[in-house]
Amino acid sequence: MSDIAQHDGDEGNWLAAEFALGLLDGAALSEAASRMRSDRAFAAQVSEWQVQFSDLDDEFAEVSAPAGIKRDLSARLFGAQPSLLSRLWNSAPLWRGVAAFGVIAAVVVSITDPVAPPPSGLPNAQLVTALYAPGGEVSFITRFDAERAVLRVNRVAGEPDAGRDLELWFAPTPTAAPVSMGVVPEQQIYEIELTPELAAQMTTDAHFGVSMEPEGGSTTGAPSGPVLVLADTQAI
Amino acid sequence: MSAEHIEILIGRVVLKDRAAFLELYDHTSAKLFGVCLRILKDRAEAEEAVQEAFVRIWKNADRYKSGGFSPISWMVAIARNYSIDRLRKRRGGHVEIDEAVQIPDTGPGPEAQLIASDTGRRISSCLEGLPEDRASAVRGAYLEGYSYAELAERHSVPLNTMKTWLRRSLLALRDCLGGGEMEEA
Repeated sequence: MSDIAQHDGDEGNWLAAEFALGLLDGAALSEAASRMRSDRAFAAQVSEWQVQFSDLDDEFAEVSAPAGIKRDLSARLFGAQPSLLSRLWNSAPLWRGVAAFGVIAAVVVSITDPVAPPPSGLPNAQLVTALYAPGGEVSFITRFDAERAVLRVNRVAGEPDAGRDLELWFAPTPTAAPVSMGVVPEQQIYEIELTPELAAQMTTDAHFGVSMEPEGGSTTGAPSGPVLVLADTQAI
Repeated sequence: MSAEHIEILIGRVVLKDRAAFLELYDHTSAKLFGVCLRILKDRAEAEEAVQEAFVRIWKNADRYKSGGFSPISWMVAIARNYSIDRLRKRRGGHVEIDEAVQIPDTGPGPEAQLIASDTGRRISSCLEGLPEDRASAVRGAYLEGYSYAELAERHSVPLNTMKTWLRRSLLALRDCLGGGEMEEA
């Protein structure tokens, strides 16, 4: 390439055209790539050529991509597990519709079944929610302490991604919209003081979930990230 | 789907709106898969490539700004650049190109916009002014991702001849499009 590129002042533009077309390889390619980062005028020329050539894009025929690609992509970008749970959690019809109760219950049973009994460190538990994701990467246990009107939360497993936070959600009934119980703190076991109104809502109808949220928690008042775990409350 | 709609979806993807991303995928994956398949000419590789292209679109959506590229062409460029990179890697002697370099930025500078308004000419019409074999070589480079060596072989000419063909063709295209920079050559 150098025999023709060093010819005169349009070396840069020529190189830009070659780079835009993808004709370069070897040393010429690495040289052009490094120039893309350091030489704004060159980068603009490459971009300009690419824009000009994009006029030919109509000639790329559309070919339906296999359905599995979207699934893999979702799993890769948004996590493998939460899609169904997330849809359920976010689905207004499911939360609000009476007929949906059975659907949620069925899902919850399948999620909570593999859960081990609450650890012995939580004696005299009455209302317990075991939040367990298949694979065990995320596992929370909450216990309502009626005497003190606090909810004890044990994060058995589960870490937020870098720069994000886990957030705990509560819904008094399967048909109610979830409300935030706050961002999950760093320590494994913590307590949330409940208002009398909230304490009164701690029944076996209650559902809890944990979602991955932006740092500081969801800004929308509802889960905005993937729901990692979701479960109902049981009297033990 | 209109360019404006795709542009709005990309704008939502910048905000990490997953529903928007999945909708964008539904509307554009066939085009991008077509690009990857045409360049890589291998279904399994094209499937991996189109997935990687969408990962890059998710991660780098903030690099799209309206102006130069149409939104779909910006996405096509990402799929095409990645596919060509992968193609060269397959052949060995590969140079790792970082992702940032492969994601086209803002589009043309003021100069290119001026060119467009001056002549209104497009590459597709300018290609018609080239000898057929030259135009075919340029198309082969852009649409099939052929290297100089492959183009030389397909057109049964020596490598240096192909380089000269491409160079003269690009100069002619540049003139046709109205750019002044390469006219002296």
